[in-house]
Formats: sequence, structure tokens, C-alpha cells
Amino acid sequence: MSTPEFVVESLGDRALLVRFRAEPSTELTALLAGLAAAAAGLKGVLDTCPGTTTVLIETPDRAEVEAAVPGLMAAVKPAEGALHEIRLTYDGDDFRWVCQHLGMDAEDLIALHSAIPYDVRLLGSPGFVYLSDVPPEIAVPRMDEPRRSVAGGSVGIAGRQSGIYGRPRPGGWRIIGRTAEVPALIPGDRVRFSPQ
Amino acid sequence: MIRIIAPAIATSIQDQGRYGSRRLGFGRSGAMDTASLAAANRAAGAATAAAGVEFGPGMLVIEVTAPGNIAFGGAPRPGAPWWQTVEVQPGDRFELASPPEGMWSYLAVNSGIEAPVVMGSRSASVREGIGSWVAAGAMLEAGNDNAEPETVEALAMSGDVRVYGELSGNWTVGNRVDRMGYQLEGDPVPGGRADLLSEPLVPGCIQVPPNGLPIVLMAEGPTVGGYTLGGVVHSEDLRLVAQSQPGNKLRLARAVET
Repeated sequence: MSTPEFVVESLGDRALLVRFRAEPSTELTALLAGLAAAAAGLKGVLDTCPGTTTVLIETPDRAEVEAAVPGLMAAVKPAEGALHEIRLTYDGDDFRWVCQHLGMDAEDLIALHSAIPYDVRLLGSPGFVYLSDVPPEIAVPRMDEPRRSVAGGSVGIAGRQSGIYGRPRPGGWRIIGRTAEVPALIPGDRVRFSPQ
Repeated sequence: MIRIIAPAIATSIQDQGRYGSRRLGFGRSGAMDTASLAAANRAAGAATAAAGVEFGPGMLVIEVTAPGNIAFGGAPRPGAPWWQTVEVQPGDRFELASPPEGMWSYLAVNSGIEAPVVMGSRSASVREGIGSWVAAGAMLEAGNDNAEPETVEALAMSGDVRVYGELSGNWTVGNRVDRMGYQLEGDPVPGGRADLLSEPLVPGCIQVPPNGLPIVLMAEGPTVGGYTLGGVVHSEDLRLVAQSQPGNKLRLARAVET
């Protein structure tokens, strides 16, 4: 992957946002995770966080750190994430609704959802794991009215996005399954769902 | 050192915040008004970075169980000297009423409040599963972050709030205010979207959802979000937003880029 174009924006007086002109992809996710890790080692940097197409760099020394970003980009190595297998029981509260909405048999939905590995794009607070897209055949709209609480370990779909609720929280994603254990994940890792 | 007889709303142990774990989904947390906690720490004889007790509206009742120095800072309340070193003895009791102005007050003790360090910080972040709210009967012990007590100046609880970006003008603080965010009420801002790619955020970011009512993200705000960004509050002024009570007027002024 050739390095995509980027711009460095200020996010207030204590943070920079490195924004890439590229569509989300496995390569971009690995690049962002690598840049976030490398930038965390710069002098004056308090914290970093990769997004979908951006990397946040929290620092009181914006000018110095901004000047260091191009050099960092030239040397950055894409993260080589680990592949995690997650045992998933496909009996989520919305599983039957999703099958009906798609006009699809349960076996086909499970086969399509578990066929490909997903990139861990970013981790939201508290404990929400944003994954890369599901196959277009199983995209479903999010709920009109979010649930007040979704159990930790739930796996959901919203449009083509998919994600894992690491902790109980409100949410409107269609829950297709649940796992007893969410592994410790970092952006750039990949997960594959193993039907139980 | 301190026994909590009755907690106020959202009483918790906080320090200057958690840095370095944002990519794992753990935000900064820390005090809603970090400058007030730091000043109270200096008055009590604790390191600036030490942990203290943050408490919101409502009455807080505490009893001292060991001799030492303490200090109160943040939103001033009837019932104790404020912004100064207070020498205390076992049995001393403080009943602090809800603050007439401001939202968040701080109790600092010499050597800081002891609490487990999680990812570099003693700050509770209940939503993220770190620590818990301080309940009635809790015993809080002093830590090891001691320093010489200093004279400190009172900090203002209100004032103009500088914002980087488009959002400005006069707003009213809504009823939906907590450690995660403060909703503002006023003329709705057009163009708010909820379907943007999720990108990182910091405390001070102002999100504009489709209803046009801005939400200022506070200490315990989400690490990522997909709403339209209306601006970012200057880091020194976020405490003024935090100290605004529901119904207070808030004037947002353009920050000058440096």
C-alpha cells in the first residue's frame, strides 16, 4: 500500500488529528495502529488513539509534534495484529429478526457472518469493539429505538458495521450472537467468529 | 483518615486523569475541574497530581478519623473554610450543603487519597468498570503523595468559554449534565449528523447531533464518536463548563488560534 495523503489538523489546543484521505481498509487500519503506537513514543505526547481514518495525538506541544509527523510517517510500520478466534453462539435477541428481514435461513446467515476475519478498527469507551464491514448480503439497519442496556459479550450489526459490546451499555445495533469471553484486543488485531 | 457519613451526588476519587490507554478504549476521566483539585491538593499538602475526593451537588457529610491537614476547593459550599489549609483532629465533622454557585467540589488531604492505580491513574471511571462511586460508610485513607502546604488563590466558577471552531454565542446549560457530557440548550445548530465514521474525541469536543443541541464532552466522555463536531473548548476553560449548573447561561467566545 502506498502511503495515503494526510493532513494534520488541530483538535483544540491540546490535540492533533492526523486525517488520511483514504477509504477504510485492512491496510489503513494497520497503518493507523502503527502510527498511533509510534507517535505515543514522541516527546511531549500524552496519549494517542487510532480512529477509522484518523489518528489522535494528545499533546500540549502541538507545533513540535506536528513538525515531527511527516518524519514519523516515513518510518512507520503497519501494525501486525494478532488473529483471535471468538466462539460465538448465534442466538442474539435480534437473530430471528435479522433472518426474517434478510429473508435468509439461519444457516446461511451464520455461514456468511463467520466466513471472513474482521479487523479491529478501534475501541470505544466503555469496551466497545468496532470491527470492519460484514458482507453486504447481511447488512441490516440499526434499531429505531436503542435498547437501554445490551449485555456484555453481545455481537451486533448496524448497516455494514459490526461490533462487540465488551461491557453492558445502551445501544441500537442488531444483536445476532453472544460470546462468553471477549479477548483483550487492540486496534490492528483481527478476529474470526467460530459458530458454537 | 476520612469517613464518609453521607455522600453527595456523584462522589468519587479522582486525580488529574488517565493518559496512555485511549487506544484500548479508556478515556482520560480524572477531575471535572482539574485546576480546583490541584489547588486543593497544594493547600492540603499533597502533590498536585495526587488523588482527592470529587463531589457533586447535594450535601456531603464527613468525619475525620486521624489528625492531619485537609483542604476544600472547587465549588464553594457553606460549612467549611475554602481554598485553605485546615488542621483537623479525630472527631471533626463537616456538613457541606449544596453549592450556591458551581457543581463540583474537592476534598484534598495531606499526602493525597489512597486508591488503586489503574493504568497510571487513581481516577474512578465507573462506566468503564474502574473503581466505584464513594458510598456512605466508606473509609478513605491518606496516600504517600505529600508536599508542603501552600497558600492558594480562589478560582472563579464562571466566565466566558473559549471555543475553537464554529460554535459560539449564548447558550443555557440543560438538565442532562454528568461526568460524560453537558447538553446545551439554545437555537439548534443546523446540519448535525449521526452517521459519520467513528473518529477519536477528547474532553472538550462539542458534538452536534441531528437535534442541533450541542453536547460538550467532559472528563468521562467517549473516546470515539460519529456526530458532527461543532468545535473544541479551550482546555483551560473546560472547567468553567463543568462548574455551570443546569439553567446557567454560558457564553461561548471564539478562541484565537496560536
